[in-house]
Amino acid sequence: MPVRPQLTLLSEEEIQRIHDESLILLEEVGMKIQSQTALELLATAGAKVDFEREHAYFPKSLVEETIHHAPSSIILYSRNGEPALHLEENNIYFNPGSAATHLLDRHTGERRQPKVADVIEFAKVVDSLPHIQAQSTALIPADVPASLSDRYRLYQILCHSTKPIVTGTFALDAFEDMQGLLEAIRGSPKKLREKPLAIFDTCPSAPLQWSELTVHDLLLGAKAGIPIELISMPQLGATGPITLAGSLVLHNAESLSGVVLTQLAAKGAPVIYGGSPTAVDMQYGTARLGAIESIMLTCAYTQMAKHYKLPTHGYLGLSDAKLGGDSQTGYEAATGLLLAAMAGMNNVAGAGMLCFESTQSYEKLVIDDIIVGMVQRFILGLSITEETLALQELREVGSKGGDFLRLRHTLNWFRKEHYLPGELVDRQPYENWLSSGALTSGARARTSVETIISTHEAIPLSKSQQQDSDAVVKRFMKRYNCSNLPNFSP
Amino acid sequence: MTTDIVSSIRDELINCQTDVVLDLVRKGISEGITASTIVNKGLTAGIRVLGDRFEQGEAFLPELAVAAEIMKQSLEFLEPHLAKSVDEEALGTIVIGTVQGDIHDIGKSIVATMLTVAGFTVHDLGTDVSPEVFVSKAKEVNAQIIAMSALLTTTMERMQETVDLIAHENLKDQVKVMVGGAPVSQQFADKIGADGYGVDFNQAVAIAKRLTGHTKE
Repeated sequence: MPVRPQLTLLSEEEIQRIHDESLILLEEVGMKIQSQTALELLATAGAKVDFEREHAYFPKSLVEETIHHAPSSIILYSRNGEPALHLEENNIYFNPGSAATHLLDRHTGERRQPKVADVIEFAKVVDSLPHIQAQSTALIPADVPASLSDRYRLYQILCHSTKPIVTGTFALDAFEDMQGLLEAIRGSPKKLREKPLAIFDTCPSAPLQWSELTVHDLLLGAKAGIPIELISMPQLGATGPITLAGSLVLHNAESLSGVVLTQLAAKGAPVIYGGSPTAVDMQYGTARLGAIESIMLTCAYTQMAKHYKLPTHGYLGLSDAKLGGDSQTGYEAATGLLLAAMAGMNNVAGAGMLCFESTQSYEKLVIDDIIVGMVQRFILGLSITEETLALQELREVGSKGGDFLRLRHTLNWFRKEHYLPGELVDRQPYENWLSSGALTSGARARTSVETIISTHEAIPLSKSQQQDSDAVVKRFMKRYNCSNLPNFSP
Repeated sequence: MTTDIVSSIRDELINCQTDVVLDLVRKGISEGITASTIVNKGLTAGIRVLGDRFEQGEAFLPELAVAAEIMKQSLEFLEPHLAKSVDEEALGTIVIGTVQGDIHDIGKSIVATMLTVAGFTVHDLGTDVSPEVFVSKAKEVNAQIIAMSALLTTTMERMQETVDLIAHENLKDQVKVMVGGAPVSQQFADKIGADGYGVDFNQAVAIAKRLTGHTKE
């Protein structure tokens, strides 16, 4: 078996130290939790709870016992019911970063708010990409009432792609509507529980707080068997300590509190230890996803999560540059994606995303797909077997002369050993590149996107799936006195 | 000597030496230096230098944040010694806070720091501030601007209530409103009748200067 390249940032002693300090923080400083239900669950389980201040102190023993109930493996199934993502051990999967408020228009280059039509088109491209295994509700459509944007974008992605989806809510009543959409696809709550189709992200507010909305979703997801993805996100020097170790303790403490809550709500509930911690630029106050410290901290908490044998997630492969084909975009994204793979991160979010998690770019999306291809090849390692050692071939060519190109061995192995990236990666000799238009990465990416959009066909929903999900949409439209929505024609 | 103490206050503030500055401020008062000299020639002078260095990329947010904190603590100590009248050299008085129901305050605190550094007198009310508290504080300190921040889509509606309360109390001519925060937009600011909106703290100073008639050409 080839050695899997692995990233180690923390020694065993350091893992233990971070664990111990997190537990001390949870026990002595505790968390503010804006949910009476959650506080009651904690109190019943033996936590010290101040209901008036909405504050809970977690006994060490409660944390250590409870986190072991969480499963080490979560399987996400595609829309047609096939197992798709095996979130366990060192399996790695990629999806576009979720909830961008802006899109880089691929025709004009303008950074603008997305429409439902963009949500659909973007989902189409993601659906076609070979190295992106899941969708996310990547764009927030601005041409629908704000109160319906979270749930309506999910509907459109379900209609236009078969890949599992990473999503989240913006309002207290959204989870149930979105759960309704997922159940409409599967056919029943039981079938959805058996074959999860979507993951819901919930983010604590650093330092050490769970807001009403996020705990609400966490509890509902846990009870319904819908995977909850905990996304702790300290901003170093702002909402978390400036030092990586300090924010790692904070991140770990917040994440453990989330695991505890899911398990108290429903023992064995599927929960993913994720995150999006960032270094803060001390000149502009911007939260840098592309900073090396953000990447390091993400890889470090992933190591903690693996220590707890939990499925993992992180935001890696992002850039804070403003253009899809830009050099900074390339180096920040590639660094993140490669390290995510080496860290064995199960669910890697961020493909396509730019500018401090605010913007999606088609160019970056297809380029990131290529980078993931490289990364997936890297992770396979070096295969050393009788055949790959090529001793026979070496003797033959070595003694008789000639080349390796015409050998059967080369033909047999070239596709297996080498990642063939396609036109997006420039491999031409200089003169060819010049005479074929001297194209930049960005220009090649745009051509690639156009091709995908004009040729890729999404598989539609079945008649009953379409009817049932349309009915869910009509119900929430009615509740909000909304008479029509873009691209909705039931 | 007077000059030594005051210039030391300025220099030590630039160096972010909290305890040293507070000691010097106390010493200055006990030696009869006027509070307004300490503020103008010591504290504010130091903050301005830091502000310039920040613009040049030589000083950063942590230095500004510590300096603003030194300023705040010094002003608290000096309050009984300062005349009730507004500091003449200040560009204006601003009341700032995060709206009711919202606990996010990093962006707001950085804005407060930037405004202080730029030369405004800033009263930071913290988080979870009701419209009534914004308005009563603005009246108490004769503020020209109320600055509000929100990070949740659910709490930004409170900004409308504050704008309405200002109109209700016939303060619309004296008090301008500027707003910010991740879910807030120019569109929202226009809809609620705010006078200024900035996407992040980098615009705050320019907006405040415009609203108080200090815009540079």
